[in-house]
Amino acid sequence: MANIKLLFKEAVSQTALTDIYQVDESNKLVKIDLIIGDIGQASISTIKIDDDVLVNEHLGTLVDFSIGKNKAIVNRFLNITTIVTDVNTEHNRTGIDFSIRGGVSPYHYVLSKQVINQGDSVAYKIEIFFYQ
Amino acid sequence: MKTRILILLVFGCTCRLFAQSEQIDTSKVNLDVLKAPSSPAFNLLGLSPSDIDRPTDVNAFALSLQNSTKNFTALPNSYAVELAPVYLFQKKLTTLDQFDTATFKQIFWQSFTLSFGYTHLGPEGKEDVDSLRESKVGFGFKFSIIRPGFTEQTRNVYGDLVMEQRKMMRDYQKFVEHHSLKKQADSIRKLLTEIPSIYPHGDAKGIFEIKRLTAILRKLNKQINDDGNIQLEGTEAFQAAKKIASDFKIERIGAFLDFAAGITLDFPDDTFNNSLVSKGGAWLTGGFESGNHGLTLMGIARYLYQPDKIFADDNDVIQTKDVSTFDAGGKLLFNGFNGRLALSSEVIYRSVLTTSTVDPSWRLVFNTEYDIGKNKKLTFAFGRNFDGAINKSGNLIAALNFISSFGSARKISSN
Repeated sequence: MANIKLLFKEAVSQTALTDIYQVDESNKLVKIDLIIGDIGQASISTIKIDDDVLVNEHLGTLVDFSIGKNKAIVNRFLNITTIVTDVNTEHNRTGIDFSIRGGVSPYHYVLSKQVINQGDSVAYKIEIFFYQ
Repeated sequence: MKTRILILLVFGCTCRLFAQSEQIDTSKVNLDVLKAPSSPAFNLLGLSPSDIDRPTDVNAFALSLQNSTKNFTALPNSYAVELAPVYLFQKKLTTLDQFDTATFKQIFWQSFTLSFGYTHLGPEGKEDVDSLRESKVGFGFKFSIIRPGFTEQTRNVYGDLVMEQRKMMRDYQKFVEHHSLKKQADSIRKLLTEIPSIYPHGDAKGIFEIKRLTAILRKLNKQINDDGNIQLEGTEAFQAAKKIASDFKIERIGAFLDFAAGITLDFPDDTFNNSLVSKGGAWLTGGFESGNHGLTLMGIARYLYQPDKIFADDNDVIQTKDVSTFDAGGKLLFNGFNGRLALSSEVIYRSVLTTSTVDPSWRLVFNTEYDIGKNKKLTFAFGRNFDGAINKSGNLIAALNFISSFGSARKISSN
């Protein structure tokens, strides 16, 4: 059972996400969740809108983080770089549960990678283009 | 000369044995018998830990159920599952840094586990006899109310790991910045930002172009990130972080308080409308954790309904049926003066709540030992037994150098 699951996880392993997200002309805030996994892992993240740094070297999970108003981020790129280190000795799973809300519709995506050796680190890259 | 030394050694060992036999027998005063089980439901049901499924997400839980029920076609003879709801509902509370927080919400969710067990077996030794099979269900849960934070050393090690992660972040960003595909990716980004000026707002062709360019950028980003990860593995920071993470152990210091409870239901004729509570229990464990040094304090209170063995009833005078017991214990350990002074004390109170056949009783043991160097130790022990008899021993009252060894200044190791 566990082996099939492991093989499945390895098969869908993904560490880069590039996508689009539709926003409108409102003043409503667009928010993101960057939930780091799996349980007990250590991470560091840097978040930018184009070249503007919103968060530099944030440790761990980030929830309900505002990246700007809808109209302020249109035609711009959200860039997230996260390094996740496998600290938990009970498993080798790393991952990011990423979501955006506040725009036209909610967005959700899961990135994950099972590292080979205990203590390995993985770089995750997320890039989202906001269009109208 | 050698013969004399040999005789003296034998004599010394004999003295040591006598000294030990004079001390209070502490074997029965052991708080481990009161200790909360790791999975209360399974402990009460008598299921072994190897039979327990521990799924870490909803899919794994569904798969576990599917396997044990033979693809949902039959009830299993026994099934045990332990769930940590934090995996399912509070994934945002599970990164390493959050295990050092003191807020109740985080402590509760991170420590909260539910256990559920089901058995449809005969009594011990006749598990597979169909006519003797009986259904039993067990539920249990446990959580921490107070949890100590990381020790200073653990925090320092975590700080070192963060430092290496910062270096990795800078290394990775440098690789990405100088990657051969970077210019191509930038040109795609530029084209994406120009689309609103080319196509009218909401135009289908414009949306199509956005999606087409994003698909190209996705491929480029994937390649850049894959290469970045390969480069990252070769950095000093990656190897340093790997070493720190591999050896990382969480040590905590401070007060703690945990609660666990469980209950089992018997279904004698295998119908849901006829059940009876066969066992139940609740454990409250608290104290002060100080790592391997200093003061360690622990207190345990346990309530059991129909226990396997009544702790207060040494002679098996009463039946366990419909009997509730309450046991409590406390333990104090102190290591001071660079390990030269060791002080320990244990107390246990035991009682049967539902009958007065057996009176409540308590026992106390106090031990202290001081290493005065050159293999000489002062010891003192004092105890009160359950029957009220008081005992005391130790070379502090007998002879100062009673456990002195011969000819050596090496310290006696407790291991």
